[in-house]
Amino acid sequence: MTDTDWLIRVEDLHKRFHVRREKAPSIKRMIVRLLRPYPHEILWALRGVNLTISPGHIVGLIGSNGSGKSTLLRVIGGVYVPTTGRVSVAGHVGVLFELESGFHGELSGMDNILLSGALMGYGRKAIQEALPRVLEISGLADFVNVPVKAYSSGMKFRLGFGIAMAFDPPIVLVDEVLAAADEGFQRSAYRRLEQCRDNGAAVVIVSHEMEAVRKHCDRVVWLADGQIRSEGPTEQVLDEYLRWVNHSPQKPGARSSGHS
Amino acid sequence: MRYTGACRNWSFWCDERLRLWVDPARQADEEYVLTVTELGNIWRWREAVYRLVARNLKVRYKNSALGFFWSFLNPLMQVVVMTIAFRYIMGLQIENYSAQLFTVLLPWQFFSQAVSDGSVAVAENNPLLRKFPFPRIILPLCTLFSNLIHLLLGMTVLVVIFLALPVAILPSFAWVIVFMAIQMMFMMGLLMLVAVLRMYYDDIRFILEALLRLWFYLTPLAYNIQMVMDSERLTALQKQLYLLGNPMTPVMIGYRSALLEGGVWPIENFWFYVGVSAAVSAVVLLAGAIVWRRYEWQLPELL
Ligand SMILES: Nc1ncnc2c1ncn2[C@@H]1O[C@H](COP(=O)(O)OP(=O)(O)OP(=O)(O)O)[C@@H](O)[C@H]1O
Ligand SMILES: [Mg+2]
Repeated sequence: MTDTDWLIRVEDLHKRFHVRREKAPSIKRMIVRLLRPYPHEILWALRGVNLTISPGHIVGLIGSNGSGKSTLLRVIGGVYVPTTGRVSVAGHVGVLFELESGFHGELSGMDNILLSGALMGYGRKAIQEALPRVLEISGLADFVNVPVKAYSSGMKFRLGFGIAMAFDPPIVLVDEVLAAADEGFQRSAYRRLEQCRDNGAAVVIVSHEMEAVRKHCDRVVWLADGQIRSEGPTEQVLDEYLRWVNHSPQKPGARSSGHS
Repeated sequence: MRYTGACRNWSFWCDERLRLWVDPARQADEEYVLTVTELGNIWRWREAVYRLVARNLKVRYKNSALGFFWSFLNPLMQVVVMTIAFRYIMGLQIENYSAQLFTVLLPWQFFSQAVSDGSVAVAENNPLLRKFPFPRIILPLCTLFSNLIHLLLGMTVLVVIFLALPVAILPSFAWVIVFMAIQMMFMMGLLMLVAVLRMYYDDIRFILEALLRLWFYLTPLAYNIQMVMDSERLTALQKQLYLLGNPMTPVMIGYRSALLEGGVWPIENFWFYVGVSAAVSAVVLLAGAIVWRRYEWQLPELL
């Protein structure tokens, strides 16, 4: 697929969010804020992440809620920009983020496939060529002309998975969505991801299901508080992680730091 | 192999490794430069533009075969209601009032619909922004294009109506292109501004709606420009302000004259006012572009 030694490279990545504690912003608050700049909190979702992912790996990304996994995936996927640092990807990225996102309920499955393909940057010809593969992978051939709002969540997942995989992207990012599919489709989905890996792709899976991670990932990255706590072979990192889970009080969220 | 990915400001195609980077030291000078390559970029993403426009129109016409004609019913009704109200009840003395209304209502609807669409376009497309790294500019652009197609369909119907009425088809119709260009420049600037504003202030939608309503009456649509010019209650300064302060005024005068009066412009120095309108539009476009470029890649995290 590629002749490079890495497919994803993240160098000293920091990502900052502005968190609004207030309710929905309004003109009234805006005027108040002009007079007295309101203290939005700054939250560092990622604080110095360094990561290199080579071809031919399925990497599991684990960590507690709010540790920055989704944020990291989105920065790699190119939809969030780094605050500082540098992210490089060597190829098309197939993404599977939130389950329902990116589909328009009023449009048919077919129209959604065409739109998604185009927004991923493919031309008309490439999309037409990939179309049969989307249907084959998702198994939704009977439903392509049905509006997506009539799909079940598992069917939406299948559609999203079909679109992400049909173009044979060298990089695949999956965020916690595999759980929505039925057992049979989950298995075939993992099989496909493994196939991708064998063809030299880099796959990153965020998951809270440790068994799935143990079974399918060959490397694991543990993210805590926006930093990589541990990284290495699956068994080793999972053991560390589970030991930590057993010994520490649980509370979600990254640390927020100060005011601006 | 050909790769694609996203660069800080634009997604692009290239044959080398792609880099997504932000280097604080270089940010400042990279950010505000408008380059020609971006237009090339939009051309590369034409399939996405096409699909988004198709989606906008499908959703707007609700997938129904007669969808366009149903949406045409709205301005038609407005013409009927306003003709009754202004012409017959208030006794406004304007010849051919309905035809006059129609010629400007369509471009006005283009304007107001697109700008209010623009205030929600980015918010509504947030799921797409959070998933695909396409050049962000194509969202407001598609709002503009889908409304433009709507206008062109409407104009076609108008010409058909003209063929049925005793209104001549004139070479002066070609001027419409000039006014449309100015109008679209202005609209694109506004679209980018309201789309970003919307991410910070929810209320913008309502304020915009009220403003557009007011704007409707500040522009010679329901009445004629001659009525303003002949008015004895307005001072000369107020008249100048009326013509110079609102880029839509000369444009709408232009549409009406080009379509109905064979390009006989109803005010003195008409092209001067058109020039000012074009200049203001260009400034708004530039301001919009600057604001847009500052915020475009932050859009998905703001909501
Ligand atoms: N758009 C945003 N605006 C502000 N803060 C955000 C935004 N997105 C994420 N955050 C914050 O960044 C931190 C990391 O969030 P992220 O979604 O990456 O966590 P996660 O590891 O995916 O958690 P989970 O396991 O629950 O999915 C959280 O504290 C969250 O509140
Ligand atoms: Mg997450």
